[in-house]
Amino acid sequence: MAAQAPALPAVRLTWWIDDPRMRRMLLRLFAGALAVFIGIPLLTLVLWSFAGEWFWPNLIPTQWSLRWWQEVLENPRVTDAMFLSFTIAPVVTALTALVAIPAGYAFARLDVPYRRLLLLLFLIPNAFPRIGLYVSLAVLYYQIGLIDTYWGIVFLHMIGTLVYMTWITTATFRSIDPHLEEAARDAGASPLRAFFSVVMPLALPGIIVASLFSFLASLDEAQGTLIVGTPHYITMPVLLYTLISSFQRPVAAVFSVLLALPSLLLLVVAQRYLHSEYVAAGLGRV
Amino acid sequence: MAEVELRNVSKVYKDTVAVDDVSLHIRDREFVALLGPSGCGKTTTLRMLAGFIRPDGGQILIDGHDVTDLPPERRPTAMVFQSYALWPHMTVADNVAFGLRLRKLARNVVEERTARMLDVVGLPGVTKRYPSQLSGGQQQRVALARALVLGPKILLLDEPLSNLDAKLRVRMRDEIRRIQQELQITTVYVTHDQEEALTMADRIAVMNKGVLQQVGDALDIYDRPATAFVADFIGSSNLLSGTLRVAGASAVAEVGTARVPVDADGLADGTAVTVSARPEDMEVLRAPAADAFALEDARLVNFGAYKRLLGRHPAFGQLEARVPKSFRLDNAPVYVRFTRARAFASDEAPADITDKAARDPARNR
Amino acid sequence: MAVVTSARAVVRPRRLDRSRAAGVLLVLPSLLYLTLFVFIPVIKAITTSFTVRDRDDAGNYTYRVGLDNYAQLATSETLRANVIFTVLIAVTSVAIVFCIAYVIALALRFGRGPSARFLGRIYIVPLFIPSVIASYAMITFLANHGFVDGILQALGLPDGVFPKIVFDWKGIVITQVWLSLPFMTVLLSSVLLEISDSLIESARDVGASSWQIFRHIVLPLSAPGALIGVTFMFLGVIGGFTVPYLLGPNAPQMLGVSMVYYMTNYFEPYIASTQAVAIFLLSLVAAVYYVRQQFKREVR
Repeated sequence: MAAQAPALPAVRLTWWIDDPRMRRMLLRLFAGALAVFIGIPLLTLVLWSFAGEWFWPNLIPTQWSLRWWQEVLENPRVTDAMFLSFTIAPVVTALTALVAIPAGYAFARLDVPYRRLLLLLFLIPNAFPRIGLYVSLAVLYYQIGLIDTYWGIVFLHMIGTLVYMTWITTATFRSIDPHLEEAARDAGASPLRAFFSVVMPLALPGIIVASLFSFLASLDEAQGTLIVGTPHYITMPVLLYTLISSFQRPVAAVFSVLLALPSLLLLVVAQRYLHSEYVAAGLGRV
Repeated sequence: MAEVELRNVSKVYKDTVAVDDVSLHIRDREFVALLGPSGCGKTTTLRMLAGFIRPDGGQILIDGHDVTDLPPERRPTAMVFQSYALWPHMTVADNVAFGLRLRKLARNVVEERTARMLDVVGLPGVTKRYPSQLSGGQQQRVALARALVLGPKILLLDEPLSNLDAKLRVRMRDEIRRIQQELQITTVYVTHDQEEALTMADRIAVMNKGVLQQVGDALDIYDRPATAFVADFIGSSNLLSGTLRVAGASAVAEVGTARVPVDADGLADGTAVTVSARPEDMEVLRAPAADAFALEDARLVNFGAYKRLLGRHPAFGQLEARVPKSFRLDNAPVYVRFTRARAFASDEAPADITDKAARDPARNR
Repeated sequence: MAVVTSARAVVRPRRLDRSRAAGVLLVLPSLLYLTLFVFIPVIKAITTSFTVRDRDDAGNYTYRVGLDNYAQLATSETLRANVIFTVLIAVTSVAIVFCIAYVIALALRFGRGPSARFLGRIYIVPLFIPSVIASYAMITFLANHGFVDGILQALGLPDGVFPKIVFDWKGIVITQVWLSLPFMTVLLSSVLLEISDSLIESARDVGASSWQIFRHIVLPLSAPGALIGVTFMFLGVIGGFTVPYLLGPNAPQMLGVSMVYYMTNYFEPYIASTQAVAIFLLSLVAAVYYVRQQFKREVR
């Protein structure tokens, strides 16, 4: 047809962004989809942990039971792993705090020589691929006898937590007005006294959140622990590897729920205090 | 008895001299204001007095004792910070009592002294509250009480009123002066506000770019500025460049074709000078006259109690004169003549002098 | 004169400054730790990757410096496939996470109402789930004869329509997306918060549409901060083990998995180290960018 088509008014492809009703609807749709994507996999795990019998393709278990819970909690391998995990995490957290808080304070307040270079070095652990680092560390552990030891695991866990906590405490200390500390010195307090009377109480919320995250990071660390801790030091997540690989679906599900509980507890408790910068400062547990 | 002496004190940051060879003697019970634009080194000087910054050269003496190397906790000084620096996690009482408790005084002594000091600063009955529950003026008083409760020999104040609104600032000004008089305490007060300095201090030390320009009482500083910077920074001044002509006891500056009578202590005939005259030392004429400058684009600015006549001179730029509030402008030309002026050797370029808000890279921290 | 001259008065000898000494002392323990457990292993990995082990006729091992390990990495069909696979997975996951997280962050920054609030509550959940559990949850969810497959059945679709996701590259990508969503969203939100309302309002004032505001103001202003998140996540995926180990195919493997196999199963630290350095080199651009940007943000 040779008839000239009438010029269409230019329709912008993005008209819907400016339409509030359309936008609201799309947002609702998006939120719903995201809730399904995030929530249902977790819900499936919970269902599996209480499933006595669940034959595919039923969407919910055909029989409910607590028997897997009992089996898991009575299994000595499980209780041993729990005990180990909960003895490693506090030690990792305490050691990290002991090393990271002074460093964070120094970076925030004191005239550290080569400060910029040092801060740069503190980013190296994040820049080198983590699993490569763990493998190299394992080689070193073989040579110095730290392979398959408690302290070997503790020191490995500290790689991530130390960097994270140093950045957080540096930011926290920096956010405290230095005049507050000077005022304490002026009133006659020694540097140490000024730190503990004035700086520490004000930095405490940040330090507590950072410690909780360090605790969780240690509790959840699996890949490095698998490399340097086997065969004698099996933490909860490492045990979960084997449970998953052995296809004992309900057992692994129970164990997963058990292992996720501490973190979820923190999520509920800490959501109010959770400043985004704590997370943004480098907590990517991939 | 508490006097302070700064002897050739200097502080150098990487590429700038923040405080350059400052010597200053502060007498017992004296109230001295350190006055200058931001970045002039006044706060650095104060912080060296308090012990937060260690000078790179010179000595600081309190009552004849060298305190240059003492940390702040071992100096008999107490500081009130610009931000007040009240500890947000302690109540007002705990803030004030902190230093007393460090000295392991008996509980009842601590309580009694805290209460008395809060009385002195006019803030009884807020002991249980936290700093965040107080107004700016109240926080200011708490900071003052906290500094004074230890009975320091020297009180140091760093722009303490800059965070208050104008009305409150005037009230706190009188209040701080009253407390200082009552306690008879030697005080060093840092400010960039000349009105504060002029109304509160016994003596004023004017600083610029790390250098002490002049020390004197309000009248000295205003009427007999020692440098062109002081003349310009305190009050307002008309600044012109000219050449000095000395004939016996009298001196005049030749500014273009006009001759301006000047005070010029000790300057030689023929010196290139900067002439500085206060707006109130100008005569406004309706007809051309000898030594008068014609004003172009003349306009009036009303200040309530008086007016200012502003205008431009083709060669010398903006000029201003203070005129009575009854003064009116019509379309007839106006002329101004300097009745009194001071001359300064102009090795300081006028442009440099008028750079009031000189941004110094080594900002006071 | 107040020009910048050197201080003329007696310059005090610079006594060992207390602040500097204290600073060194406080940083020292962490530096010592990092040297022992990070810097030395990294350097060792690099030197090991250049060490070649030969066996002479008598059966004794001899060692020399050489590029043989790298040559093997480049020529071995399997190893080369692993390298390409790893990079593709990382790029894909990061791209998907970035898009979803950006939408969430935009909704959190500019959205009002219950949907935005609801989003703000749920997106953070995966941050609190250990990666092993997340991987397992995804297996039960996405496996053939898993939950989603069950729904397809319930909808009446024939068995076998559901594609293979678990033990395939798709499983790795989906799980990485699930795990990294909170981190990326938090980072993007904080970046978007730094864009002041007045900038947006002034653009709206001159008649810009929402899309134009996004395209010309929000996106460019958020780019530098957003790239920190992108590089950090890229490094995380490339150096990850758990997700590809539990959800990945047997071949090709992601380098994290292959490296651990070479280390623990074949006891081949040379190839393992070479792979570690190779991952590092692959991510070097990202690493340098990440370090530089993070540094600029955190250090005055």
